[in-house]
Amino acid sequence: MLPLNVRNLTFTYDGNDFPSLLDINMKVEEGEFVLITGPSGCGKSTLCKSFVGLVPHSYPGKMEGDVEVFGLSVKERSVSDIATRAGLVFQDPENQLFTLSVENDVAFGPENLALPRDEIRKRVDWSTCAVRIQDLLHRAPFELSGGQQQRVAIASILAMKPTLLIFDEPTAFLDPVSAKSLFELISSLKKELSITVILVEHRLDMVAALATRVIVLDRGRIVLDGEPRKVLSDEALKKTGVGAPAVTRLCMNLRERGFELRVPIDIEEAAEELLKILGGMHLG
Amino acid sequence: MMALEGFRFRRGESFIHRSDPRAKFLLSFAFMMMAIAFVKLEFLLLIFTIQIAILANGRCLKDWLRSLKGLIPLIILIIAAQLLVSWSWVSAATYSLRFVVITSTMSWFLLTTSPDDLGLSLEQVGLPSDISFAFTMAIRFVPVISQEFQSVYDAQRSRGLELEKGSFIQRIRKYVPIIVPVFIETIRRTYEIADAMEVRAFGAKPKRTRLNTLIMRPSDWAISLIAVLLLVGTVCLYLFNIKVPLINV
Amino acid sequence: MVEIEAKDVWYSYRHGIDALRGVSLKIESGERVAIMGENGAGKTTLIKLFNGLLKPTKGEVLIDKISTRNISVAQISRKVGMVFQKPENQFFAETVEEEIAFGLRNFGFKDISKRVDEALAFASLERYRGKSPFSLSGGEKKRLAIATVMAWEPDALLIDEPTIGQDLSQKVHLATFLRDISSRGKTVVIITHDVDFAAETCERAVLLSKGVVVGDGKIEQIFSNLELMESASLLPPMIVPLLRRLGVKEFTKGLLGIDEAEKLIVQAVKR
Repeated sequence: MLPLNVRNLTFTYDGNDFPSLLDINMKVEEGEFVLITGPSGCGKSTLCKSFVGLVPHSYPGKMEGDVEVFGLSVKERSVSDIATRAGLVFQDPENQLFTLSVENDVAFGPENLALPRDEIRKRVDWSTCAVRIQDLLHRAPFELSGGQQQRVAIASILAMKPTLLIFDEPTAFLDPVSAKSLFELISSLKKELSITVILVEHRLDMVAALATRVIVLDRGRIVLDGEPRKVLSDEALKKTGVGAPAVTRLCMNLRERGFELRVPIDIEEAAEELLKILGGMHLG
Repeated sequence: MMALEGFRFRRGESFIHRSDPRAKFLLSFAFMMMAIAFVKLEFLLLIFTIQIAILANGRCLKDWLRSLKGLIPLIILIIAAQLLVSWSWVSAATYSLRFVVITSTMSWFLLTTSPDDLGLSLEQVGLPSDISFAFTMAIRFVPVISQEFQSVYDAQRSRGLELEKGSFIQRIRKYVPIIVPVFIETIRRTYEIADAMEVRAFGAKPKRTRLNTLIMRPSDWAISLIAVLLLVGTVCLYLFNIKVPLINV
Repeated sequence: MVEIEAKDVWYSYRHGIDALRGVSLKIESGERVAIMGENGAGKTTLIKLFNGLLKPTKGEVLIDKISTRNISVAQISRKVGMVFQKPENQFFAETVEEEIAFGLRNFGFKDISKRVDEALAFASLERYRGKSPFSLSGGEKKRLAIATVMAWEPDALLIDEPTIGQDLSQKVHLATFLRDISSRGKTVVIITHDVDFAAETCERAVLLSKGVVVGDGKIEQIFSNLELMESASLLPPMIVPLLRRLGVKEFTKGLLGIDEAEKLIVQAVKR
């Protein structure tokens, strides 16, 4: 069963003249790490919300086509039903934490599912360990740093044991070092828990190397979908206003000048390729 | 704003912090009723002293004093009003002390009780979980909204807004650029919070289970008993007009 | 023309946390400075001290040699305009032009209509003149926020995190916009995490870490010092560690972007 199957999805919010999502078709297999990116206003957030049913249940509008999460139709099932299979972490940690202790926040989801107390206890301990915040259990979320708060948000979603995790620009309010740390956490969670990950992100330089697949959205449509190196070196990318990582763009420019190199997606690969064309010689 | 600090929960491990919210509520309610019913200086001083002891135990005297500082204008008003009406310093002292005792009752209760526990106690007393949760969340977001006001105020000051200048009417209108953005942002925030709650399956089951529940310890039962006795005593003395020295004579 | 100076400035919030511990720096007229550091390092506190919203606990902040303790926020803002992180946090008017007129009215300008026209043109927002500020996109809101401040022509512009939530093309527009402002003789001070944006827009970088200045100098020197950047919890532009691996020791400002790097490599291969 596919974690995610989007078929001919077109969605127009009530009161809008134009659809926010147009004819979206995508299948996500188990174990993928999908990076979704695109310019502001391209529909990324709307798409994430449709993966868990917030669109159309909480955001009225016309929805054509369907989204299936592990076989369940997002149109027919409630958001609560989907919540135990697909979890969504939002940008702003402030609005995802409702209580005065980390423990209570992480327990919130399982409590809603009316699980027995020992099960809740087990899940809280397990998920806080998974995101390495077990020492913060009795702290108040507002005392924590942005990065720590996002970890609490992730733990609170993990506690519902979804096998598909979706992140909508989770590092928007974090500084670069905290952002890097969070991406590393997401990557290791994926490996340790064998879950499927969908990450919406602008900062491609930090995440391009982590993804198995990149999807580029522009004005509600999918314009590129494929292996990171292919997508990031595609000509069409420039037109959407999305910036490939600097080292990728550098090497693309050099390729245009006639140099033979593979397209890198991180610094290591770029260094390798460039050292080759420099014949092992050093610059400066 | 500073006055509100005296009513905001501060974490602690003291006896009063660890006491059950329901017991504490009964006791603070009893104190409040007694202060309303018995307007006698010596008696109020007694209750006042007990409250100080409670605050000291909870290590929140400093916060409580801050709240008093904010209430000074009102206290002065009460003193002035009493002096005008009765020409008696004793009377002025009594009524202003009564005001302090009543507000201090709310103060020590809120300073030592976490909103999470408050919500939990409401739930355990029988209130639907939706309502108790709304209550807890409102309290949890008060500091956030207060911070918003500050940020917006700062932003508008940087655009030349000067609240201290102008006629009374002009000054009221100057609050519009502060209230409108906060209002809009708060509404926007509620959508995000609602989304976050939904993806955590809020509403999935009619009755939620709880990881931590409140359990009444023997000391909590004792406090509750004392509170109930005080309340019953107060009602009796008041209704049957029984005069007891030092309390209402 | 305005000179902003911090002299051994200390600032503690009420709960006893020292946000700034002995910060001294001077920003001359017309400079383009990026103030950087991890969240909590004291950056926002510093610019709030620059425009008088906060007064130092110890030390002085001087605007054109006058202490901020002796002038009001309104007076300082007239010279040193500040744009906050969330433009939505200050919009309240029914139309974009009223939003721009607000500051102008507060400062007692008479030629409000003219200034509003100019501000709209400068920010390319003419077609939104009569629309609600809330109907603008994220990037347009940022431009509007900056335009409302530029309307009263302060000598300096302090901007807190101009690039949050902006995509690449919006950032490119913003960088050009800020360079235009700078070319009019204004001082531009931005707080940012975005090293690429800072490299595009500024010539000087000040690094704050835990309330102390740990680095202050030409942006290319600061960004190419990998140990310094790490100590301030910052990641340098991607090009820098790459070029270092290829042997580059000295960095010019141009080398922080890919065009110069490209030329350098092409030249090296030709040899």
